[in-house]
Amino acid sequence: MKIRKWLRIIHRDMGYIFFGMSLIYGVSGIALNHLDDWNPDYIIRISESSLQDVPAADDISREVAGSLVRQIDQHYQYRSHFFPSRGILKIFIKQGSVTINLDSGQATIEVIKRRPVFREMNFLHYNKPKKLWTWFSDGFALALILLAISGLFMIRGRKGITGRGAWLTALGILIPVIFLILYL
Amino acid sequence: MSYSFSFAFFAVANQNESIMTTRIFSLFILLVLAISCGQQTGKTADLGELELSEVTVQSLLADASPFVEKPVSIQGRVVHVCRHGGQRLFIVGEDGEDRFRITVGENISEFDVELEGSMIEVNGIVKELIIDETYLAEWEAEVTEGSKHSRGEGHAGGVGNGDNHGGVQVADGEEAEGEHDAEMQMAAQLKRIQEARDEIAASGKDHLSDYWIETVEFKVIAE
Repeated sequence: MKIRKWLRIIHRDMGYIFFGMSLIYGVSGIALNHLDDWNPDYIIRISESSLQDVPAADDISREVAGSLVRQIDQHYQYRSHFFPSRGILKIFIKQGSVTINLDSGQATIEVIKRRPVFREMNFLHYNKPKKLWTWFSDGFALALILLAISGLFMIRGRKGITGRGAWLTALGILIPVIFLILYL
Repeated sequence: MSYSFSFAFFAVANQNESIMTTRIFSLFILLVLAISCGQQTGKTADLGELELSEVTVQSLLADASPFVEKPVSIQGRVVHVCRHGGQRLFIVGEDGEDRFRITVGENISEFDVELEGSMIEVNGIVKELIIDETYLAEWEAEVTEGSKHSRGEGHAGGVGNGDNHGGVQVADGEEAEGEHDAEMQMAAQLKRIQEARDEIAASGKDHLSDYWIETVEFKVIAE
């Protein structure tokens, strides 16, 4: 009885403490599961534009490159430029980059913005801070184990682990096992 | 903390739940902190006392083999930062056409995409991946079995100077954003495997070498 009481206390308070961590790992987990469908770190927009009277490569200075990007959008702020290949100019702007075909005047604009919230969550989920975060997230993992175990024995009776709980627990174990059999 | 200690601890203080709860979680946090403070961080080599070889993109592309596992210093303009996690970037030298791959090291969590366009100086260690028939056969098997192994540090990171994450590589080394067709990706990877085989055959050696620099430290030196 006392043990069950303490399991409930542990389950309750660890649930409170690790509420934020659960959200971080849950939300970013969904995001990282779908990397083929979107980029959770950045919002990337690619568009096309056509420029008139594009100068030859030899005539492109910082000022000229700056004026080219401002032809596309007055708000674009020039940073630097280089020629990745013959006839192609890539201009870096504060908002992203503009790649211009000097022969055709065709410009491809890539505007990049950080995706708020998700980027930060992924940063933590991927354990990029390393160092102390490794141990804190290990603590969270340990807490998840404790939460799972304490959850099993919190309730007595028909809805507890000797009744309905046993079936649901078995189902939760069986599902990943089926996936392993099918895909491993 | 042993179980006996835990149960004894519970038994003594069961008259006051709130004090007990506070103690349990304080202990939990102290335990995590204590473990973390007692561990080494696994930091990569400190370059402070090592002599750095000054290299350029052109010199490494010509022959990086003398520098493998040695500390180097290189400067270049960042032309691309990996959009998925910032674990690698590419710099160009003076001609602007030749690129060299730089990856993060133990001390760097990620490269920010805002580095694109900046001149940077990187101090790090030259790394080499040997790409031989065994490697290619393994990669081919994974591709044909539909493995998603290529994301991150998989085989797809091995050949060439593209920014590979299992996506289709396009001219500027960027991933084909929005291209999700699995068959196209598989075909593209198989094509790259065959190209690597052709390149090995043409080289007269039994393998290709893929080189990159693992960053220990870097700084922006100019826009």
